[in-house]
Amino acid sequence: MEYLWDGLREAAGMLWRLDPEVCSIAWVSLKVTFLSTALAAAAGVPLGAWLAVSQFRGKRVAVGILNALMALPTVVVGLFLYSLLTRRGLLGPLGLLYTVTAMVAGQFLLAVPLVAAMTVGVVQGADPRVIPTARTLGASPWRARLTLMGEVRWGLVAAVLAGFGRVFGEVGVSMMVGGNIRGYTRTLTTAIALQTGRGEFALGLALGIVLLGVALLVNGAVQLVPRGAAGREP
Amino acid sequence: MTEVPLYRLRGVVRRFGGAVVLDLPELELGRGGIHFLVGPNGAGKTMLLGVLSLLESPSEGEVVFDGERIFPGPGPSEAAARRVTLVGQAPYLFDTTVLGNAAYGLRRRGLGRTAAEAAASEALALVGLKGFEGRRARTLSGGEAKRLAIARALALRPQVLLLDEPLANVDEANRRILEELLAGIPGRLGATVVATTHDLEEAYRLGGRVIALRGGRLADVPPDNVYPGLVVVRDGEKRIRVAEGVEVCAPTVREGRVHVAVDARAVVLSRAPLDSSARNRFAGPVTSVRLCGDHVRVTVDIGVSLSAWVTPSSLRELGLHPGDRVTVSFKATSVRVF
Repeated sequence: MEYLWDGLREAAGMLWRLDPEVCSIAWVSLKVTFLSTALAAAAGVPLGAWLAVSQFRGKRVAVGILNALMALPTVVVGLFLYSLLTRRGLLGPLGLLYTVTAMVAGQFLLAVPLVAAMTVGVVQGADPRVIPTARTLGASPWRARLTLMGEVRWGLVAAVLAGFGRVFGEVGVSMMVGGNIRGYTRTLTTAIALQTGRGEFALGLALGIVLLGVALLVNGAVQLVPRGAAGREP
Repeated sequence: MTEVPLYRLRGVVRRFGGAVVLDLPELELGRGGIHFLVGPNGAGKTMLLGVLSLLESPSEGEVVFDGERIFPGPGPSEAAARRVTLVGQAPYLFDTTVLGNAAYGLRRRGLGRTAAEAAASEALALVGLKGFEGRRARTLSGGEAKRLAIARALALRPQVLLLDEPLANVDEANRRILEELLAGIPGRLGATVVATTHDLEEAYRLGGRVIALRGGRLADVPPDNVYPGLVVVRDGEKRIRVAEGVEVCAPTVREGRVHVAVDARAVVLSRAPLDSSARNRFAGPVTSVRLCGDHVRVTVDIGVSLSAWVTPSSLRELGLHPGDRVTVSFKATSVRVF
């Protein structure tokens, strides 16, 4: 047990003096996750909202596929993207393998189904009186839908935070298409896997604490989202 | 030249899941005042209100609003739609402040924030919600929420204000505020109010025109025998004078101007005055005899028009025809005063 206490003490020291290695890795992680989550929100929220309000053949199937994609294993997405980006792959000539762009793309693919599926639920669960009320007060059909989105804003925030949570802690995509390059594509999760494997237990622990802290913070934020705001009036 | 009615509905039919929920061969609504659509649940009141809001299209028939044909057709012009505002039975309040709610419609009409909020504040003052501007709308009580919804509609200065059960499910204090508010809208704001209610007394108390509905059709005016009157004291006994020389005996603690309703099923017709305990006895000529389903409605002119429901067999026994003179009697306890 000695090594655990030693490791924890050393990790605490690293965090206390803001170790440059730890900071650099945390920064890469946050940057990649913020970018991928922002893009997933920009695509997933409109997609989910459109799926929720429109009527077309195969809508149930589309929503079903979205729900199934939420469970997509991260390494499978990594594998798929790797096969596209590798030199012999379809997008090989772009030279994107082992770049931040590739990681953002992979995490985007992971987060979009979750954000979109949750948005479908949030919009469908909205109070059915919102649109008629907006319409009778003179809102155009489009403006009424925008009002609806405003009414369920907290539910949408929760959907985006869930997307953030999904990608922040993933290893598969980051490892396979990021390559774990120090100071460039090394993220909290890939670094923990590497350092622990190499016996650098203290650094792994320090990074683990940062990862856990951010994950708990995001989870706490989801809990703080006003209840009932996403749905009907109490 | 006759005035163009505000609404003219011809042959309007609305189906819902195969069933006819509204069937109105002809209905006209004039300008100004309060119109009450009265009927039990499922009478089609809310559906008719939806059609009048121009947002619900009928399955068949013609709807003309202020001289403009709305249905059949591409629906209301923006100008027409903006002159009509509907407040639902359980109005939805947006998840923002009271002021934000009241200003919503004005903002959608392109008014700037300052102008919209100024007009919205005025509307809030009208409904007695001055000082509530910064409150979250969702923290209001049921009655306050209704008043806010009405303010939100009034802020738009609509030509027509449609209200679905505005007085249902509100406490006594809010009810009084709302009644006063509704009664004042046509005069103060020049808007025509159309409200639904299942409470006939409410309709008369607010002095509205009553349109009775039953099963999606115009009912044959079930509110028989409702008269405005004045409580007078004669021989130490309270009576309600409903017309010159027509005073109705009824137990009441009320004073001044009231309405009385005489239950048409409790009115007894006879060729000669009856020797009975009935406190009310009048005579007059029969003005109409009409078969309505399983009963006959006999109308007698006793100074006001009074209807009595009798069975076809008793009508045959009496052998009544329009113009015949009859005596009508009813007990004081069959009269409601409100």
